[in-house]
Amino acid sequence: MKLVLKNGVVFDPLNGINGEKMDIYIKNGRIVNKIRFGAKEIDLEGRVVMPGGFDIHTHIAGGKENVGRLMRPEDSLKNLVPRKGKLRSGSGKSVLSIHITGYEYAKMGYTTALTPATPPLMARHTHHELNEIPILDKAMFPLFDGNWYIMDRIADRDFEAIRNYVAWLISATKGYAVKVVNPGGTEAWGWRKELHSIDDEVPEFGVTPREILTALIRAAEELKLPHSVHLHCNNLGEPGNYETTIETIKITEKFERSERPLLHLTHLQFHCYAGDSWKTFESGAEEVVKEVVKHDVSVDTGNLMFGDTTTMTADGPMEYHLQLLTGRKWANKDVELETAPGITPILYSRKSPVNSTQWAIGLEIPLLLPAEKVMITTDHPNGAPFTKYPEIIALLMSRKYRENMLEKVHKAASSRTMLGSLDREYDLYEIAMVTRANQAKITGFHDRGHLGEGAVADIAVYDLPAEPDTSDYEKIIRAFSNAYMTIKRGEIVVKEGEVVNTVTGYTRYLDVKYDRWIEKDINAYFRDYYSVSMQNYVIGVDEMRRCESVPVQA
Amino acid sequence: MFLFRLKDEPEVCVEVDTLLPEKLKKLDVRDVKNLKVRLGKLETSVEELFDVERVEGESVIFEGKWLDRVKRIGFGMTEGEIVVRGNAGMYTGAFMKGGRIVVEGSVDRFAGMNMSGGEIVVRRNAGDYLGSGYRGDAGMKGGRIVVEGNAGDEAGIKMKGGEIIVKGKAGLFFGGMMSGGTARAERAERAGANMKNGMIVLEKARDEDILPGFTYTGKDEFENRIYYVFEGDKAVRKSKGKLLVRELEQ
Repeated sequence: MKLVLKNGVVFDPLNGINGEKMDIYIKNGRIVNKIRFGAKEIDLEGRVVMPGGFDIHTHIAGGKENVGRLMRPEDSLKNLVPRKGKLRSGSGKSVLSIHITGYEYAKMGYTTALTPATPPLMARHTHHELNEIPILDKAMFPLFDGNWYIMDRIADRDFEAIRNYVAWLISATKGYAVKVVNPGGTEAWGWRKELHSIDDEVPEFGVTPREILTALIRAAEELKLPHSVHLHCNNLGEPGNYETTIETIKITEKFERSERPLLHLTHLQFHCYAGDSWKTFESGAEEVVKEVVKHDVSVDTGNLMFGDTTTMTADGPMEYHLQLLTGRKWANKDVELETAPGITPILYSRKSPVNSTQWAIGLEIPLLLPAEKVMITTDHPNGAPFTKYPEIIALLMSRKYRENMLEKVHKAASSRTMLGSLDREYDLYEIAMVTRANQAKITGFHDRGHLGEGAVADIAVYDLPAEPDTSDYEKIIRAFSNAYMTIKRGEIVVKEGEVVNTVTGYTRYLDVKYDRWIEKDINAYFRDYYSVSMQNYVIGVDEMRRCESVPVQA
Repeated sequence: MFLFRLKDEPEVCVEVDTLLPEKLKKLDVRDVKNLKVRLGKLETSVEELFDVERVEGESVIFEGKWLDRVKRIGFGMTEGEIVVRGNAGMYTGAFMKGGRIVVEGSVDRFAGMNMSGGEIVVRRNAGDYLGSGYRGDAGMKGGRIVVEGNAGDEAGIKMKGGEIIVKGKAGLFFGGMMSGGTARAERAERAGANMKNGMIVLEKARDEDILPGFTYTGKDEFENRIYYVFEGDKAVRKSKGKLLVRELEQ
């Protein structure tokens, strides 16, 4: 299908296009320079055109997500979507069922979503769910944090085996990057011990989070993986944890810089807390931001927005402590030899000093950092469901909205953070950076996040002028929640905020080479410890509906 | 206001959450007849299933022999009065915020589910999950339910506020996991399991009905009568729930 988008105002940071009125040509699902004849023309009348949105960290499929769905039938009741024409039905506000996940993302102009934190043993489940998510292109990150094999090899100082194991596991689970959640902490908790710094030892294994992380970064560098280690730091959500975060960032000093960042720190908001207790809880964002600018790391924000949501992370101990605070239901999904994700619902309240401060920290980070370093996420559904992205965009774009909100929330948000004194307002060029371009760049999705020749024709059109009036923030929220048009691989899927068509997206995975001898070594672990055999663990390409492999030359 | 007489026994259950007093008071008979109600998975008009008449007074009245197959009477209502002359089906008064429902017969399960205000009066018995919550949610938050007969299992489960009064017996786990409000019954089994706060008042209880998580704290006066007071359920951290029993039987 040939398509021409005429008279759009284009924001394409990766090609340096800042609000130029130009036409975009689409042929066979890709962007081309020119089409001579036979193309369908669409006049956009000066509306804003951006590459399709890209979510780098969103828990939309996998084992714990499904436990969340099972655990929260009352959440399903809040959002019931009936079947409509070709579109499937679904439910859920914070733990959305898979089909409406795709539709809701498309409505906001998002076309790619990466789901982090899948225990390798649950990878099959994740892929089968990803297969069913419509419209979006996806990828999955397997978890390496509490892996027995890796911890044993670190204790033996057998780096050769670690590198080969990382390559083998990514290939076996059809993953895309190395994900690390609270390295060592979850396994230590399984032995009834808590780790408080990155130099505490994991019992029974005798390794520290610092060693685990160093080994994994080294493996990712030597294998030349397109995305760096994707890290959820230790001590998430604890007052005073910003020091741990800074210590962790400093680990990257040992490594040589390459084309991409050495480390990705995810949902940074949850790791920027100062103070020594919940009473003296305050923002440590400024200190962390300084280190982020200095080092070769990328971050995503992990904004927290008010309302009821479900928290789920592979950080089992953190979820356990959270449910002790809230007294609400809780589940832990232990996965043998690998990790133990936890799930518990939470209500973030405007009246709470802690929640209000967390909300403000989530906005401080993007406002203090240069736009090249920022990526917007809510760590769906931990900080808020991803459907809150338009509100976050509006908060970044409009100082007036922030001032209005600061009046409505607990005064701690003003006194314990510096949000009130930050005047910066994002423009659409920067918004395009923090919601799509940066993500595509640091994850090595080279044909996404821009509108240059050869890029996949994933395009979002928003009903906004090129320089929107930032005091009318409600219009910004409306425009970003209901994309005027979303195009996925050259097919129009959303028109004026309504999903009109659905397509099947691709799942991207890495094809990494490893030495065959490692299989024999790993097989011993399967024989001795796992409840499944190695043959049943490896996922075949035939189990993925539509996939594209990225070869990695180490 | 209006009287709805069910014409015949419906093949599948009817759902009448559109027939609320606050919506009906502005309409005339012809509009009401054209309103949509659910018949199983299909939508149909009120006229198909009910004879509609305008009557004296301010209440919406349901009549007919097969009203126990009519679900969601007064679902989410905020004001006015509904009278059911017979047995009401499931979800009667669920998500109710105000007003009053009088059922002259019995109600089926989930009556007053997630209720936050108003009053439900049941002249005969209530089914299971009276004043409970939607699966996974907290239960009743406010309002008042009076059952003149017996109640089924798990009445007032996860209750947060309001009042449930069962004049007869209540079933298993009466007021289980409750964190506020008051639940009263003549007798109940395993009352207050995992309760955190709130109060359960029983007129009679056998020794084995008091769960082991409750500790005896002495006698106290409540509504001019002397009750044995138990505190619990100690299986829950920081629990301050009260279980009052007037007569302990061996």
